[in-house]
Amino acid sequence: MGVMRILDSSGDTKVLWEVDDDEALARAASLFDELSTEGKLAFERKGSQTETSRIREFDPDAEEIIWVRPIQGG
Amino acid sequence: MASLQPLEELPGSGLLVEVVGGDHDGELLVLVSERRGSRCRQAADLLGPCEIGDDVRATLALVESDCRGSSRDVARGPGRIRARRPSATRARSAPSQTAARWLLESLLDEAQLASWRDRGRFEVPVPDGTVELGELYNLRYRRHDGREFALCVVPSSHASLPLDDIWTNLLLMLRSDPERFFAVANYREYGSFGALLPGPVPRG
Repeated sequence: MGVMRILDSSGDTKVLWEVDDDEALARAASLFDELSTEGKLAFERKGSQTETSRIREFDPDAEEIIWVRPIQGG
Repeated sequence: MASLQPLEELPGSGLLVEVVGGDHDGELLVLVSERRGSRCRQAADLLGPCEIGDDVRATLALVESDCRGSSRDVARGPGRIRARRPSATRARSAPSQTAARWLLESLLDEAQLASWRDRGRFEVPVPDGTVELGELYNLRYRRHDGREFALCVVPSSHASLPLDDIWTNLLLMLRSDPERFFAVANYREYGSFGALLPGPVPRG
């Protein structure tokens, strides 16, 4: 099962999918595109807890994708 | 009656807490004791004017009572309340902070986690030094050559995020693209009180 965590006021909103669930997979892929269009940035967590890398396309096999916001000077 | 959820020890000895329940549910307060320093007052000024109700006063009286005899200098009573967040930030509820804390800690390595739990801040290595996360609007950038800068970088619309989500956001950005981080940062020499300069930050 894969999970997308989208940082928001609730902490994070989770979106789950299974690779063999076409409907859930399509929803997750569509959401990925939508968030990318909004300018948010996706990171896939791999292997170790701390290993994350930026991704630009939805990976159905990803275990965890964390969405963050663009940064700016404060 | 409302209760208070501690969120963050502020530099200069303040405590950022969130009101849970009551008329002021979701509002943030900075508690300042008689020993609190000027930096905490700066933080309070950032949060806005003070305005509290009787339910919070009653809770603070309980907090004060609980802390008597404790070595931890937490809250000294309603007279020390400095500020509250504007209503736009009411979404920072205790469950959201718990979720954000869990995610952040899951992303830290062993040394970072120990530092975070001990000091409320942790260092992220970058090619020419480290950036310390944990003090909002005042991120300490230590270059290997000894120069230090205070950086101000935030996620967009960061006021709607729980504080620990802000650290998660900055952590992932720093790890993946430090050049972007230093390009957008406003900065000044660490410890100075000069105006912030627009990025890019001078690199070592």
